[in-house]
Amino acid sequence: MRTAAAAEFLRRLNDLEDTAALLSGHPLALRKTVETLVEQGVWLKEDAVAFGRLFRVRDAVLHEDLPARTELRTALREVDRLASLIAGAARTHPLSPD
Amino acid sequence: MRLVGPESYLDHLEGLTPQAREQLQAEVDRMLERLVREVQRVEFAERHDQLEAPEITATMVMRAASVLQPTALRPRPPRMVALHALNLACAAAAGVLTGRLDGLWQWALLGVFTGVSVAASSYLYRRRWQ
Repeated sequence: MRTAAAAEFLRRLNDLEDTAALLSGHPLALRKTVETLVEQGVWLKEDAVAFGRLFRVRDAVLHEDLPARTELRTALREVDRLASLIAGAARTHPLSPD
Repeated sequence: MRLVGPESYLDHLEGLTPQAREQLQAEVDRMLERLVREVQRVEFAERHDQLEAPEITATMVMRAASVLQPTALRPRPPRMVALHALNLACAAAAGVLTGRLDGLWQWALLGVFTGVSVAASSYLYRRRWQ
């Protein structure tokens, strides 16, 4: 059974992915999104790698191989950290997908 | 996005109105977009430590497609198969024990087997709706 924490993780990761895509201006290209955010200095390379690790956790959740509670908590914290970096960048450089 | 034109399939559909054709194309586009996005997620999940070298394999495409399938059509994870087996074994053991209830031990075991079987069944039942 998918736990509430797992569902919350999926929801927040989805929001993070959408916001990152919006900020980068590449709504359909995940790699391009990450590349752009690193180029713009919003994320460091380590942050991009951490973002990728979150998709590995997502993959495990979706394939019903639920990660441990501590791993899920760490992943949730990581989502929030990456989202806050994007929010900070969006404040200094307003979002302009055009 | 139009990677695969559905025209050849549409030729086999009789009585398709122009609006239906348009709707069908829109649905194909939507499904394709979801699949392409999911493939990228799977690829990035597996190769996130190689930021400059993306590589999408056929296995990744299959994995992405399986995510988009309804839960009921996905292969069961091994843990769930094991739970089904445990449920069956406990139910069978409880059934056998009901004919030999001549001591406290047997009653205790019957309680344990029944309890495990009921818990496993209700868990498996609830999972069907997740």
